[in-house]
Formats: sequence, C-alpha cells, structure tokens
Amino acid sequence: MSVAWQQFATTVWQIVSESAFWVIASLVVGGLVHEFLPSSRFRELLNRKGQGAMLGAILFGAILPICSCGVIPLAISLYRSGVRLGPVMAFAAATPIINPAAVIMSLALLGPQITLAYVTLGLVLPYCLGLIVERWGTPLSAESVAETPDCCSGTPVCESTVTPASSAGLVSRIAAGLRWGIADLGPTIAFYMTLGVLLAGLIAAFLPPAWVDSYLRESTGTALLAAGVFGASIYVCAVAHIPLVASLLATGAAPGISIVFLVTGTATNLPELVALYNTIGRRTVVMYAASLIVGAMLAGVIVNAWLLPGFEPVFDPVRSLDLVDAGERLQPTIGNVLSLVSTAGLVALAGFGTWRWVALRIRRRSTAGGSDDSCCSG
Amino acid sequence: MSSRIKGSQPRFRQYIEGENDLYPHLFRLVGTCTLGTLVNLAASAVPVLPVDARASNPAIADNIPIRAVSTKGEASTRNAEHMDGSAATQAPGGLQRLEELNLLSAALVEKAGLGSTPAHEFRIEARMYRELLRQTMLNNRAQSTSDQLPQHLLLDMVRMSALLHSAADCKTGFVITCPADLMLQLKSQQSRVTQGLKMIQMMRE
Repeated sequence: MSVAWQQFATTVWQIVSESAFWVIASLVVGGLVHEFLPSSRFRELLNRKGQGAMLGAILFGAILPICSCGVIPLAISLYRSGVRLGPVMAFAAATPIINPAAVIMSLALLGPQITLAYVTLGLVLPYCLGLIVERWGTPLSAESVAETPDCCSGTPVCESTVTPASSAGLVSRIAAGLRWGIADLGPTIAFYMTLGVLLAGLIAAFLPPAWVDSYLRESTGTALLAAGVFGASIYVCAVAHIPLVASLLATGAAPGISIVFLVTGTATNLPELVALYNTIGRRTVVMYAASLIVGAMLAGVIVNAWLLPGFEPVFDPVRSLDLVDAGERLQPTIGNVLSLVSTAGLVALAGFGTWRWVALRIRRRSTAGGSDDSCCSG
Repeated sequence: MSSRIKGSQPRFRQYIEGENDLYPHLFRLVGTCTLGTLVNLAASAVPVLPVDARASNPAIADNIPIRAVSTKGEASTRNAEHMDGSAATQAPGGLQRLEELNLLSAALVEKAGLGSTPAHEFRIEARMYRELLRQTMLNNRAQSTSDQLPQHLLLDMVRMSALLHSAADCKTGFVITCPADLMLQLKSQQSRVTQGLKMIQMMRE
C-alpha cells in the first residue's frame, strides 16, 4: 500500500513539475492574448467563416512544443477572447499531439509507416473534432460566464468575457493582460488542474502496470478501447512516451494500439479534461474526449488492417540514433531551477484557487437564505 | 532610513553572537546546509562514468574518472589509468562491445529503479551509452557484411538508449524517479537485449 502511495506522490510531482513551466508561460501569453486579441485583426481572421481558421489553428498548434496541460490556459483565453469554439478545440487537440520533435522521434523509433499514420491522424482528428464541437458544442454562453473567474473572484463588476478595445497605454494594457492571466484565470485553472492531477495520480498508483502492459499488446476492439480510455486519462508527453511505445511495438504490440495510445495519451489527460470541463462547458468537453477516443480507435482499426500481420519496423540503426538526437535537440528542456520556481508558482496559484473556491462556496451558502446580490447567483 | 539600518545592526549581532537563544542555532543550521550543498555541487560537477563500461573501451579512456556502479548506493572513484594507448590497440570485437554496453544499460536500469540516483549523473551515463553505441554501430558498418552484427539487435539497443533518455528526464527534484510503466518497459527491453546477445553468442559458438 505504501508503494502505491509513493507512486501516487511521484506521479503527482512529475505531472506538476513537467507541466508547471508551460502552464505559467501559457497563462502569461493567454493574458496578453485576452487583452490584445479582441481589438486586433487576428481575431477577425480566426473568426472568419469557412475552414481557414480551423486549419490555421491546427497548423499553429502543430508547431508549438506545448503539452496538453500547458495548452489549457491558452485555449481558454482564446475562447474567452471571443474566438470560435471549433478552432479553439482543434488548437487544444493539435498542439500536444503533433510537434516537430515528436514527429522526428516517431520517424526514428516507430518507422515511416506509423509516423505517416500518426501525423495524418494528428492533423485530421483535431479538424474533425473542431467541426463536431462547433456544430454541437456549447458556444460562449451563460453557462461559461457563470463560472468566469472574473465574475466570481470578488471582482466588483460583472464584465463581459470579451474585453472591449482599450484606449489605455501599452504598458497598462500589458499589466491588465498579465493580471487577468495570472491573477484571475491562473488560480481557477490551477485549482481544477490540481483535482485532475490527483485523479491521474490515483490511477497511476492503483492501476497495475502489468495490466496496462498486457492490454497494450493485444489488437482486439476491447484492447483498442482500453488503450484509448487509459491514454486519455493519464498524462503522456509525446516526445517522452515515443520510446515507450517503440519498446511495446518491438515486443509485439499491434501498431493500431500504439497509435491510439499515443494520440489519446498526448491529446488529453485528466487535469486538462477537468479544467476544460469546469471552464468551457460540460457538453463540449464530453464531445471533445469522446471524439478523440472514438476517432483514434477508428484510426487504430485502419492502421491494424493496413500493417498487420507481420509488421516489424526495420530501419537503419545509425540513422535512427541520429534522428533521436535531432528530436531531443528540438525539444526544449527546462532547467531544474526554472522548473522548481514554476512548480512553486503553480502550487501557489492552486492554493489561491482552492481558497477562492472555498470562500465562494461559503459566501453562497451564507447568502442562500437571503437575497444574493452576487453576480454568480445567476 | 539610516537610523533604521544602524538600529538593525546591533540586533543582528545579538543574534549572531548568541544573545538570543533561537537565532544562533538557525544561522548555524542555514550555514551548514549552504556549505554542504556547495560541497555536494562541487563534488558532483566532476563527470563520472560507470565501471561496467570501462573495460576495453578506448572511447572513454581519456582522463575521465570512473565511478563503479553499485546498486547498493556505494561508489568508489578511481582513475582509468589502465586504459591507455595499449588498450586502444587491442580493440575488442563488435559483439564484445555490445556485451559491455549491455552491462552498462543493466546497471543504468537498476539505478533508474533506485529512486536516489542523481539526475545529472544518470544523464551523463545515458549519454555515454548512446555515444558508445553510435561508435560501435559505425565500426560495424565498416565491416564486411558477413561479420556485421544483426540489425534487429542494434535497433533494440537504439530503443534501449531512447528509453534511458526518457528515464533521465523523469526527475523528482534532483534524483531520478521512474514511473512504473517506464520501469516495466526498461526491464522488458533490457531482458530483450540480453536474450538477443545470448542468441548470437550461441549461434557463433
């Protein structure tokens, strides 16, 4: 039992320390986006009718080396800046799945066929997901406004989620953007991420690794579903997990299973899903996760039909090692000190977010009997 | 402002000189910890290599201190004086080099599971494994087709190298802590490489 709790603590620490820098950086960028995007022409470009915005969001996401936790603040700030839901969710899915380092690592260790399938799926799946979410998802509405941190954090005025163009100076606008990103959005996201991280830690601690290992080696429909659901719930970084998938593949795992695990694992995880669930809307997030899992499973079936039986990734080992080096060089590494400082910052934000959440609940309860003049009451 | 600074100096001296009960202990504790950290950092700044990789590897012979890899946490440092030019002239065959690399990776897998291996040390050793593997593969490529090592074994060792680098990225503070799934794959890959080597040895005998 103590080993399981040790594993829980290790997993929690690793998710937080790996993603902290990117979450903080994304909060800073997200704050600036929220301040400057509504008044810029870029927003018109992102909101243009047709598929151009969606494709642009996917391609932009594909070159960013951000993990699925780091992309949350950026996606939410885009959403709250008035960008359409489809491009936002396509961006949120494409960013962690595809990045240049992951593609090169995949080419080095998984072979050209699986890399082709991986890149195609990484571009097509976010596109389909964006279309689905835009058609049936929850648009920016009262539901999301009710949970807006601006509104519920004690800020006296209920302001619109889309900030109007400001006539203030550049420095004060930057300060306002950073305040929104760090002080308003940051604690809320860090709080919900904490809940997700704790859940992911429990799964990692109490799910037997041998069970996962044995499931990932099969090629049945149940194994595809298990790989999809398991991948969607744990925290997987594409670059770090490609060697693990390569090892599984070399010991007999079906290529379709590898694709499902890699795509669902990198695109989603519990911290991300919990944060999006509570900030963007329940229906949208359920559709987002379901589309990813089902889409990845379908792709897994197609890849299995294409490459099985007898698939064995064979390529030049020296070239493979060179490519691994190139992929690792492209992946930005965060130094220990910066990582620790970011982790401390994220933990502080999570603590503040927890305190704010508890204070809000107490205030709601205390005003439940009387007249509630809070903007959060409805 | 200046009176505030002047006023604070005697108070500070009081703490240092022990007129206050609590603060001298605190200052001593902080001082000891800082000094200890600096000494540790200075000691760990010297690149170290595992002893399992030393044997007959001219590539690592150049004046680098070698620390014996011990899974019990004991380490002994010594110079690689036996690995001079004469050793380099007796370069072993490719298979022997792969065996040495296998010993090195086995030691690294064990270290990854300890939960107390310094991250910088592990990273250096994983890097060394990769570079030695690259050198071995380049040498192997230069040989005639009949003498070349099997591709699948080399590919397995490339995968091992990538897994070791993934493990090197799994840090809790400054020590390596591998998640269970990665640990499982490391062990599985290690046994796969060992079995592959045994098969080739049997075939060649």
